[in-house]
Amino acid sequence: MAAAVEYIQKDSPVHRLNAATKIFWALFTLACGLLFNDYRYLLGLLASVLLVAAAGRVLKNLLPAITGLSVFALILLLIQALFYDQGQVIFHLIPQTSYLPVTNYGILSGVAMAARMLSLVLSFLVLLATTRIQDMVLTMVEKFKMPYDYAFMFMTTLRFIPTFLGEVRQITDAQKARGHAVEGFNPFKKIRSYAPVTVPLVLISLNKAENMAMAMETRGYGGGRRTYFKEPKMRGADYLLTAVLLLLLVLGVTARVKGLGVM
Amino acid sequence: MPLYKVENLTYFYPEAEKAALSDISLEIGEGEFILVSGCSGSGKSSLARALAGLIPDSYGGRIGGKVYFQGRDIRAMDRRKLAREVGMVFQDPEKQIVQTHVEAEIAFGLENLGLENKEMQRRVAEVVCFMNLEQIRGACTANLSGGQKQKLALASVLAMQPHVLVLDEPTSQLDPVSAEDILNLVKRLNEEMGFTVIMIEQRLERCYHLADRVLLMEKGRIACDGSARKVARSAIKRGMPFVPPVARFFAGLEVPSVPLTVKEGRKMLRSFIRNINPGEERQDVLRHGGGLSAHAPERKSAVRLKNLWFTYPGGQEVLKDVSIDIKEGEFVAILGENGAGKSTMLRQLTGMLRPDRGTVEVLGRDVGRNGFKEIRRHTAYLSQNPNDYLFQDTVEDELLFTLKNFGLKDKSAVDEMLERFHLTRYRRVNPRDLSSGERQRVALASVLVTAPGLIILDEPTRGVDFRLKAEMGRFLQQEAEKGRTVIVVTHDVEFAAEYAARAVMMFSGRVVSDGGKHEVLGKSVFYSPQLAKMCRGICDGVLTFSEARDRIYPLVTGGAVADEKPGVKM
Repeated sequence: MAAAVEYIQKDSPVHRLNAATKIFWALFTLACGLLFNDYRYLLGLLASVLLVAAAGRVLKNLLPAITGLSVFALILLLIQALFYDQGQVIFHLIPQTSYLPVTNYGILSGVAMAARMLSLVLSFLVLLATTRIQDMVLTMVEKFKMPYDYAFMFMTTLRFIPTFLGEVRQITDAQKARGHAVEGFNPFKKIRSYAPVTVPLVLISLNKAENMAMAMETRGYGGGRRTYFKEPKMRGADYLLTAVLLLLLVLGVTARVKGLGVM
Repeated sequence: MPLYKVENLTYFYPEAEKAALSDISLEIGEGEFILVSGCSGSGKSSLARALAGLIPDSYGGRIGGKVYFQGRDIRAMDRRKLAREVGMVFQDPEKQIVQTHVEAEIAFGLENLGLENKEMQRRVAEVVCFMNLEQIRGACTANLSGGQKQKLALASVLAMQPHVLVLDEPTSQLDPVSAEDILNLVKRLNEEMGFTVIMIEQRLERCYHLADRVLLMEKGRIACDGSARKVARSAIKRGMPFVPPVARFFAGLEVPSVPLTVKEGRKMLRSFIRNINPGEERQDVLRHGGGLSAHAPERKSAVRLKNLWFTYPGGQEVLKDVSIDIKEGEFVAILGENGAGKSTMLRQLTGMLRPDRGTVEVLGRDVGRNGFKEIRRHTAYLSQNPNDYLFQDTVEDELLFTLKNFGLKDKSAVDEMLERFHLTRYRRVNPRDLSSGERQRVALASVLVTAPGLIILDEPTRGVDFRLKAEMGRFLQQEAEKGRTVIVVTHDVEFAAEYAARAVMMFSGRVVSDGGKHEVLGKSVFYSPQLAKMCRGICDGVLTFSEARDRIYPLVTGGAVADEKPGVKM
């Protein structure tokens, strides 16, 4: 499942959309998923999410995730079916007895639950697969007025993950060559035996951070107005989609207030 | 008005007793190319930081005196304004790249300056083009090679269009070819675009001649200051080692002027020995080559790699059919470009990785099959960064830790090692309080304390000054003479040529050349030391300083040969 969460570089209409539009779409899906509990509405929502994934050409990449989630969906359906006792009894799980009745409403509400879970999770996976994290962070800064310092901190963390892992490997190699081994099953001993790796790691990282701060200073970081190289531009399609989604949301809320889409 | 005017600059790092810079006065004119050299701890980097306006604001500490940039006190200048004027490239590209993608990295400084988007696009495009970065334009910075990373660091600074470039050992982590690439760029920037360049460097053979002016530093002071030629002469007179090998070689001869480049050296050498008998010369080379391998065959193998193939999970093939046989008591240098697979090969030898195909035998045991611990006890491995090792509170504990890991009870080796590496007086000192050279010695002592038969070092001369380098080279030679096997991976061709006996060259995962150092390094264009470049075709088979001295000095005895020759005057 972890594999599906990362950005997949492709050229598709969904990739080309502005990060803000896609974030809005994911939030819209979330809202709809929570508004309704009619299985037909929720299955429709799931279908729309899959459609977007297909348009973004990431359906195939998300397949492992979808399979994994389907197992959870089945479990949800089962639990729901078992503990929902309204409606007509269709059959009993233990035949010839009156134990564990399964009702028609139970099954339908289970389907609704499963579809809701799938659409919510998948919409965020589609968002992550089609949008670079950098763009998302920039959108947070531009559209949602997050201070750039936090955004920068987050991006630097991303930048340093490979470096950090390389460092861990190098130190582990060095200490192993010196005969050091992480030993035993005693947790206290084990924690102590990590010291030869963690202590140098912390010291080296601190030194790196210090040098980095200097390098950033010589490049004019800190204080003052900042501009952005990749200004995430809203284009026609973005405005159109946002408008459509907004309209749908208003319709959805009205429908819900009128009692539609609820079982 | 000079560009920089430094007046009585004295600087103490926080909690330091000794001054990093003491009473420095200096003027730097616009468009100059200044090379700053000196031993570790002589204040080179501190001077660079002072000129970039980083001292003392980023560090704290005490400062006296003033640095004026274009007539203004640098400390009173706005940080952003200064960033537009002075660009700085650091030693380790890993510590200055901030962004995850190449373009974003180049744009980072421009974003900070608050440039208009259009201007930014233009500048990024221009720099990408000038630096030849088109192919990696959209790449992840984590996937770049060392050379590409350093080029990117330079590009990101250039995009800000500064007028001054301060470079702190920009090539110390690069292979000779990538280093040449960076230095050529810097030279072009200075000559064609009028940049003022201040470069700190310890490896003088490839950059000494580029500079208009050389500063030699010693204990926080400027010991010599003048044109490259003048400083070379006075450094030689004072017995300071900071001159390129060609100049050092001719210093021993009575010559009217000191040559600084291979070209000048060859010209002068030809004028000395143009009448040497070529037949005699060839015989000499043969004898030389034969002498090296004569006693090798009867020894046992210390390391034997046979048809080794290795691919990292993820797809890249790093080692392709590598076969090397290293005998006990050999001193082998492994050279090659960044990413040629040298470090991966070392990881195979130390049992950190297992081969996909082929066998790795270390000290007669198959690494793939036996427990590593037994092999590791007889193997010392020093990684590129001595800080990878040090975590104890005292120097002594570092050594004891290794002994304890291998279950060795005899502690007498500790005293011996401390003595040997001149660390006895630091026995109870925290390794973190030592200088980088001392820390490296502690790390080395801590891996050698088990008296291993095989010593493996990854880039041991990186950032190490001339004196310490010579000390380490001699130490390793002695170990080899005692029958221990020494394997060094290095970019430092001069070091390999001077101290190793055998050289192995690797390119993109294959061994392309393996043999006596004269055979391997003597023939290479980039991977050959300066004196070999100078002597090639004139007096073949010369690689080290002592060889050049022994073979050429007798030919020019008395120094009367060349005094008035035309074409030698410079």
